[in-house]
Amino acid sequence: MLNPDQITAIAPDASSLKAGREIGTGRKWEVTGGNEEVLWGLAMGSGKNPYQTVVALPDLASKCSCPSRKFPCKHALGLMFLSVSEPVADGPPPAWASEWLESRAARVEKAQSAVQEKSAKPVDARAAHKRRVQREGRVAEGVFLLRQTLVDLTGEGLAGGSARNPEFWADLAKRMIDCQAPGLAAAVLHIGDTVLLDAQVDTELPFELGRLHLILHSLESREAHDPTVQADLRALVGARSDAGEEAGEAIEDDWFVAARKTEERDRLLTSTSWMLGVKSGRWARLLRFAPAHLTLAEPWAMGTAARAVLRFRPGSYPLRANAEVEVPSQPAAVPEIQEPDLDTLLERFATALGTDPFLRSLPFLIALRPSTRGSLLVDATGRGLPWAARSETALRVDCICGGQPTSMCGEWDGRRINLLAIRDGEAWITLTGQRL
Amino acid sequence: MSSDPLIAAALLGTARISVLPAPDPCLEEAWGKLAADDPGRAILSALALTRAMRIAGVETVADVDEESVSPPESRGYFPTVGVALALRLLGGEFPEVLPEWLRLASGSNWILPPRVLPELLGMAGSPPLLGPAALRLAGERGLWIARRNGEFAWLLDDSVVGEDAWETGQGAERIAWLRQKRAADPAAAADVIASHWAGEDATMRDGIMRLISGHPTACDEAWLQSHALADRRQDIRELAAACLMRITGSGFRSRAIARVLDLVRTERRLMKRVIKVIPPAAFDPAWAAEGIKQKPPQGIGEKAWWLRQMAALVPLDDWPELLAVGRDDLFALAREKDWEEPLLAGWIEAARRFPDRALAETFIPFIAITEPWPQGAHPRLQLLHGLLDAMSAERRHDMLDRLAKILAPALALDLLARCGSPESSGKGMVILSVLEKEMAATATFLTRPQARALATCVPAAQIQACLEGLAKLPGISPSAEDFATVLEFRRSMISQFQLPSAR
Repeated sequence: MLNPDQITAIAPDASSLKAGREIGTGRKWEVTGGNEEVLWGLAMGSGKNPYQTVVALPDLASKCSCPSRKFPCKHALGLMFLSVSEPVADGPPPAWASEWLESRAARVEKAQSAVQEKSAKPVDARAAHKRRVQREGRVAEGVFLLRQTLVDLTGEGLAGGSARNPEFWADLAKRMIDCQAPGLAAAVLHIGDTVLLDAQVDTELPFELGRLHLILHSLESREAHDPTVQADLRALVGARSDAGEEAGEAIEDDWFVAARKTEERDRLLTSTSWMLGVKSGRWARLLRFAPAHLTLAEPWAMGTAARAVLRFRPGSYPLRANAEVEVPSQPAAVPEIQEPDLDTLLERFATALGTDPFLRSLPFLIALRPSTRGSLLVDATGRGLPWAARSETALRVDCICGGQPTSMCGEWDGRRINLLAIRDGEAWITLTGQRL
Repeated sequence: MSSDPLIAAALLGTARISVLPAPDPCLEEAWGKLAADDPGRAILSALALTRAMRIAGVETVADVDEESVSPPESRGYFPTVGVALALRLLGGEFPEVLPEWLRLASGSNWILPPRVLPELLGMAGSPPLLGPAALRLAGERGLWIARRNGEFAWLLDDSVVGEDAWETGQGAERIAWLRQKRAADPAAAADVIASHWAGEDATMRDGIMRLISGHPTACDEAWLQSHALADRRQDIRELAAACLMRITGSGFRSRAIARVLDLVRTERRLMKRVIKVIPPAAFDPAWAAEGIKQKPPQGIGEKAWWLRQMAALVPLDDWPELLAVGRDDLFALAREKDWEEPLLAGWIEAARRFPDRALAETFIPFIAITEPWPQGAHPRLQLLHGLLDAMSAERRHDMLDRLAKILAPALALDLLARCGSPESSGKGMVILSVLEKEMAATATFLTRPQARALATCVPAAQIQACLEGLAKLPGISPSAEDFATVLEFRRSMISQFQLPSAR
């Protein structure tokens, strides 16, 4: 069963969403139909013939014969909105919809058989070893280059010069990509596009370079570390998992979708979902990627829970996970297993840092309220931590809390809280810039 | 430069300093060796260590601010579907339907949940209906927010404000205080205005005038005459003159009526009565203090200009008594050709200033077909809008039915779009049939925005029939498509307010 939030989340822009809603009425369709797998319809447009629109429900993929270059187009959005507001006729899909479904299934099958074929193929151990040695050699070159650059910059001083030039960091990031170290490239880009814009750049830039130096130092002596730290370091470099690497822990739980944020960097959309295991109390971070001109279809809407098995990637403090099977999620109440106060969060953060010194931030679910002057988020015991938010977000949080501690989800990075979602009555509201 | 020696060293550069500070006293010995070998790496390692120590060692701080908690709500929140719809409307979708939603929503038993308040408060009094509706929809939480944020103080307009609000409050709170003071002690409120007028800024003066203009009293005469009528801004002076004219027995009103009595009278010529005009011979300097300007705009003669301004000061419903004619006969009287245009322009201006006293039942049909329109007079369509706005809903739609028979459909439908849906049965049926005919046409003069606005004029009970009528047509124009889209949205919106929990 679709819900309007899922449709809203995949709309490519506000005008498509508005047009989609307007088309989501029976008057605009010659024929509509659907079943558990697919929706289809003939949309009356400005063309001579109606547009053929199909939506695959499991992943909200769609196809439409209209000339729009937006994806999904307004007709696909309208068909989804229509199915939410009015029941569509049940029945077998017409030939043009079946053909698309079949061609899609054939593509998926082909891709899967290609993967199977590849995995069934006897591994050429020598060639694989050669490739790994080549890759590691390139990464080592990148690590050496980056480490030397940091030392040189520290020698010159971080108050000015190249260290304060975003283009310098962007060029360096390209070099890291050439060295097959996309994780290091992202860390370098982060300096150029985030740290340099920080109001406290004089303090944050040296600390950020210190953190990067620690990663590089650890990479230089990678073989000396235990396998979990090696896995952490592989993730930080951005290297793909090696075949035969030990699989991480799998946890079956009711996973509550507590927060979601989408960032665009270098023409790539990255969606980060924070999931909280209702029984296990574990946090998991699910990532999805898409080219910037497309939208990310999220099968699990914010504020819903899915009974699923999440497999965590190995690491000292595992957070990144993948769903083994994407089952449908259901609307859910906000879990009661939140932390009691901010001191408990700080203790968890300090412990996590002791295990994984490279950790950037931790998610939390705690009842908090903004202080009267607005600079702190305060728990039920009257203790607070600083937070940063755009003025409209701060106003919404103030409106929702009304001076009372209220369940909210955010990230703590050791400096300030970044709020991501909040409870308003029975609703779970995103605060990350997406539409309510 | 940072006071932390480690940060200061990193900012300055290891090449510029000879002695690197140890990150911690207990590390001094090891640090000495490390720093001497490779100062760059040493300082980066120390920064990594210090960063980890700092972020792992953060402690919470006590909140020393005084706690403030919003009072509990006495009414329930909108259901989820209603909240989604409210967010779409407050976000700018279907702007033409927003006034109707505000009316229905504020008449329901629901309030908006707190997450929607930023959108509601962000509208800042636009459209004009919003103020009282927002107060009702925002609930206790909205008032609590408005007390904490000066920018939303307009929400407090009609709420009870403290005794010291005039001295210490924001603009909206001060106006609210003044409103309450006038209700309790109009003479004291007038004294307060008189003593503060000179020190108030233009926005506050405007706010005071808009408050007073609804119901000026005899207590206000002195400060209106001495302060407001001499204000720097013309709109304030105009409002002051209008207020003074509304105060029965004010000196300003007596003088204005006396001037008009000197200017016009009726006399019988042949078989009909004619309005005779005796224009002023010279400009009396005392008139300037009453807002009458001596120098005419280009293209208008001096005497015609003075006549026009003097006529404009007197509300139209005073004229029948001044000329000793019936209320229905005033505009049927013949007017002297030489002075017809300035007199008509004066009446139009008087109708603009006092739309509630404009003898609308006879004046609207009269000006709807008046040709030529006097030079420089207020535009006809805007005047008609103002006059129709000032009428009760029933009279307004009755008038539209009359206008539908004498005006071109484009003009009549434009007026309907402005007036909205007829609330009483039996009124507005003629103009609605003009609308129905136009929407059924395959080509229409109506633009899409006009069609969307007209979709708000169909009474709620007729929406379904109207949509069914459109569905039966073989094809409809793009404007009619938009018309139907708005109708469908209204149908869905209205159905929510028909739930039992809404009442």
